[in-house]
Amino acid sequence: MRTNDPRATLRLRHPRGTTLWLAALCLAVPLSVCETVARTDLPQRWGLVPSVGSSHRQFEIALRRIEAYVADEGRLDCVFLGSSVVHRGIDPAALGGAYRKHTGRTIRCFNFGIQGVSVATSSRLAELLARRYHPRLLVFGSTARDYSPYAQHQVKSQVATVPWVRYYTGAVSPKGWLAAHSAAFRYYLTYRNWMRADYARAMATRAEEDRYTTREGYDTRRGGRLDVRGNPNPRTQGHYFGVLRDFTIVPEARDGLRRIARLQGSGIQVALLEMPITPTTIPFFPNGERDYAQFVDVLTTTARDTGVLLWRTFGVAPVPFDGWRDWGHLNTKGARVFSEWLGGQMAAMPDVSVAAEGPGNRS
Amino acid sequence: VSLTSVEFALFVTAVLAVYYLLPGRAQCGWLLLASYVFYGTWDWRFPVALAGLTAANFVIGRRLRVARQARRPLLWLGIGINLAALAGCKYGDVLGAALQPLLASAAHTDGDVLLRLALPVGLSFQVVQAIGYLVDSSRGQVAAEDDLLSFALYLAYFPKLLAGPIERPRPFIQQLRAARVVDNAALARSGAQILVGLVRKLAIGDSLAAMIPDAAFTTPASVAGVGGWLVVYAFALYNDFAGYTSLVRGVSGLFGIELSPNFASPFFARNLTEFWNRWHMSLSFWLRDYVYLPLSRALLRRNLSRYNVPNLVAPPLAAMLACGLWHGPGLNMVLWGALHGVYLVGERVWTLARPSRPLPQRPWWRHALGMGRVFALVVLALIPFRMPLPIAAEFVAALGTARGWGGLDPRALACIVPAVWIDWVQARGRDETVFLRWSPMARAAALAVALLVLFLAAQRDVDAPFVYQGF
Repeated sequence: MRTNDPRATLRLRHPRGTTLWLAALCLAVPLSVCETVARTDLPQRWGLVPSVGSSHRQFEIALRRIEAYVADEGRLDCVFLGSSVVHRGIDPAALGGAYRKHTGRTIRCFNFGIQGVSVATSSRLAELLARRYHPRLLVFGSTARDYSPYAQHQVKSQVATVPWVRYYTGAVSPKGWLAAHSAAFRYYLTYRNWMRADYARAMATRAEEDRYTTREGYDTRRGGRLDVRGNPNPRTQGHYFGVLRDFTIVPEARDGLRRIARLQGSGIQVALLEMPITPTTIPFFPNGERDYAQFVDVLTTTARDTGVLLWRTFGVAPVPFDGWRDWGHLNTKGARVFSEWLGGQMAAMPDVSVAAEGPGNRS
Repeated sequence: VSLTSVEFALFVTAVLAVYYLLPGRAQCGWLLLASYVFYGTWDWRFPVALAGLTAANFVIGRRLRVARQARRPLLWLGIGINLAALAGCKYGDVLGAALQPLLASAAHTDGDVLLRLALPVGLSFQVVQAIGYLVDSSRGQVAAEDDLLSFALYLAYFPKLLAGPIERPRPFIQQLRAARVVDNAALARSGAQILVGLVRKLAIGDSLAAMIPDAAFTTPASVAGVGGWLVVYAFALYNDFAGYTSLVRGVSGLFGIELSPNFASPFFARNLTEFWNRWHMSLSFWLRDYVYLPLSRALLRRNLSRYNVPNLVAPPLAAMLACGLWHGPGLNMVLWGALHGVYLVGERVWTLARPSRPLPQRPWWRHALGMGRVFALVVLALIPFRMPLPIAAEFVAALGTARGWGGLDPRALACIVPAVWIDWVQARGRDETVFLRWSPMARAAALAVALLVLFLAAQRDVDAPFVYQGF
């Protein structure tokens, strides 16, 4: 730029930048104070909670719980990952009880099921969990619905694209860095939407969900009872089954599953879990059992190719008829029974509660 | 590309980098190219429409300057073409709905033949500028030489393309022909304008808009304190548009081109006439010069008396009705314009009936009363501005109940108080960049606060386009 040319448009003298330096100083002092205070236990005593900047409420709660759990327990033996089917279907306390009964040992499990996540997004979360919490066993639970086109983009922007998540999975950005390293910034993120009309309601809902989430990430509210021996009501449950009408396995989900399974090589044992479905679900696939077999085939092939463990549950896991909250999710009774069964299965594995080096059981 | 996005900042930086390297005339060509590219990022058809509008007006403008006879029909033809373009795009849905039964019966179809045309962003602003150009050309007020590049840039210049300010052809084109200088002072001024604009838009306007429950303006009877939300809306709208104007004026200043101001602390106006000299000034001055004054002159030629009813009533009413129609085709906008017209007529009648001391000589309490009265009237007129007539009626009914008047949300006060403070500082200093005259420490503190506020505002999950881009 020709700053000295009298014909030039831009004619700048070298600025001293006094205002900028003073402004930087004005910012540095109060921000340092805020950061120092945020790193003490004062904010928690004031009832403030941190956030990573996601608009997915339950994801935020799950993250806070797992941070606290790992801080309390010192280590994580196993973590369950998946969508709401996992979140509502696995009670780590019940599972731990069954495991102890079979082996006499304690297992520290956490339920990191996140409502609405796709398989691809789960693969990003699996990477995050592996890098940050180093669980001995990572169990990815899914149903065929998670592989359908509909399920792929539900909450992607609320979870997978959050800068903090991206930062811990290798995509560094200023905002991700700040969320990872500044305690004050994380506290601000919780209250960043203070101006929104729905703020008070959102905070109240968050507080309620927070209250009902156990320290192992399981939501104890999911009660209700539905006898699945009857036919589903198309009016109230049409949405759930409607998703299956154009069922196909999308490549994005298949790739996501493979990425999860490949974490096996990074010092973590990975297991795939076919989550229970009601017997009445199969007829809702366009090609019935053939479609469901396609889903099972994806699980089986991935498990075989990557050497991870696969737990099949269809027709095996003892879920009572009144163990369902709705046509897709277990209620607390179903979750307890299923978790106890799963605890028994895990007890048959090489001890994940002490050391889990080496390959898992093959399917 | 949104004006508050990082992409826009990068775009401006890239355009500036090349711009500063080019000589004067080439700079205009580069700006025109950049403006069309920028417009194309919204929709590829928009630059095509703008090019058509530019060509048509340039040809007619040339004819107007050289025509000895038939100048008036030619001018009206030009105005008609512009208005038809605007009406076709802006009122297409309304016209289509009205014509649908006719077209359906003529074509023996099921009636799905709506005249739906895409409304190019900023077309309303481009059309009034084009009309201004034609009128000025017919009056011989625009330089006679043929300069398509300057004229095209006058209509397309990207900082003002989306929502003004509405520029006059002569001063703008003169700036294009003169040497432009961006020195330290201009850079600081532009920076301050950009910063104030961003604070107004992102930290104040968007925050206030996000606070308002949707139901307040859709089912007002179901929301308590709708009166308070209307006040919040008034500040949200003002800060949104004033923020936009400050931002684009700052960006334009980086190119050495000064754009007209649009706002001068309008909520401090002590009467309605003063309000319209402070609110969306580039539009209100345009209406004054191209609607109000010509009509006044025509009426005064018939009857010179100031007390003649048509002289009193017709010019302000016509100008404000035109203002309403310019904003949108709905009856609610017509009512909004008519209300302001009636306000202005009432004020003129009152002034004629009871002449009072000039504004500067009045005591402070009369200023305060005047401001309160103007604010209340302006806010009430926003009811039809914000919502269609049936809902506006419900809103007025809700205001008539005790439930309609709750206190202001404290969160809103946290935004309104700084907004009023910025206005007060700017009005007191008679300069929107008065902050630059502060001591270095005060200036630095203001800069630090502005940067922090903008950083914090950028973290929330709120994304709102500029309100006036919709017009």
